[in-house]
Amino acid sequence: MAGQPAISTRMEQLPRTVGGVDAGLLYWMFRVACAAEFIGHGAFGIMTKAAWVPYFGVVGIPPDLAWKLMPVIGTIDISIGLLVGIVRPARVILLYMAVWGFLTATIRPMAGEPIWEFVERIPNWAIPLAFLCLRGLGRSRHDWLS
Amino acid sequence: MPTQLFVLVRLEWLLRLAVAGAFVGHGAYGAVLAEPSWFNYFAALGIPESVVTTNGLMAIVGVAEIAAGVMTLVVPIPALLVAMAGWKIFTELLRPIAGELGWEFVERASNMIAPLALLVVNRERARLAKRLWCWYAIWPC
Repeated sequence: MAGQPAISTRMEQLPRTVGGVDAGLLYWMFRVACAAEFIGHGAFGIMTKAAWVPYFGVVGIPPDLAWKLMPVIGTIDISIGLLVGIVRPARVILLYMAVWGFLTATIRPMAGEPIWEFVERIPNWAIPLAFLCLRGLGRSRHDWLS
Repeated sequence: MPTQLFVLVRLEWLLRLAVAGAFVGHGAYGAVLAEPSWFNYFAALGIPESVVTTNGLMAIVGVAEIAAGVMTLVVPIPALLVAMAGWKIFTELLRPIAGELGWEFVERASNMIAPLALLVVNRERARLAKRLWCWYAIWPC
C-alpha cells in the first residue's frame, strides 16, 4: 500500500492526461511526426542539396556561403528532431519547430517555386503547432522548457 | 470540460488544415502542373509513361487528391481519413521505390500521420460532446 500514492502520482504525469483529454495516442503520433519531419529534412541539409541554394538567395545569402550553411542547418534540424523524439518535446522546441516549418515552407514560393510547395507543406508547421496546442501554452519559463 | 472541448476543436481545425494542405498541394502537382517526376512513380508500379499520358492518369490522381483534401476541410469523414492515410503512406513509399532517397519518406511523416491524428481527435471530440450533451440533457442518456 505504501507504493500506491507514488504510482498514482506517476500516472498523473503521463501524457495520457495532457489537457485533460485522453491524449496518449495523439501525443505519440505528434511526437513521431515532428521528430521524423526534422530528421528527414536535416538529412538533406547534411548531404547538401542544390535546390536549397535559391532559398538562401531569398534572404541575401550568396551560393558559396549557402553550401557551407546547409550542413549546419541540417545538424540543427536533426538535433531538434532527436531531442523531441527521444529526450523530451519541450514547448519552446515545439514553438521553434512550428515557426521554422512555416518559414521554410514560405521561402519556397518566394524563391520562385509554385505556391503548391507551400500548400503541400502546411503539415510541417501545423503538426508542431497542434502538438503545442495539445500540451497547452506554458505559464512559466519552467513550463516552456519542460 | 468545455476547456477540453475547445482544445479538441482547435486541434481538429489545425489537423483539417494540415490534411487538406497536404492533399491539395500534392494533387495540384498532378492536376495542375503535370509534374514530370510523377512518371517515375507510375513506372515504379509498372505503368509506362505512354499509358499515363494517354489515360490522363496524372490528372485523375491529382483531382482525386484535391477532392479528398477539400472534403476533409468541409466534412472529415472517418472512412475517408483512413483511406487518405493509407494512400499517403503508399504514395510516399513510392519515392524510395522509384529511386529517391529514403529521407524523402521520413521527411513527410507529418503528411502521413495527420489524417490518423484527425481521426483520433474526431473520435475524442464526439465522445466529449456526447458527455456534454448528457450533462445538460433533461432526460437520461
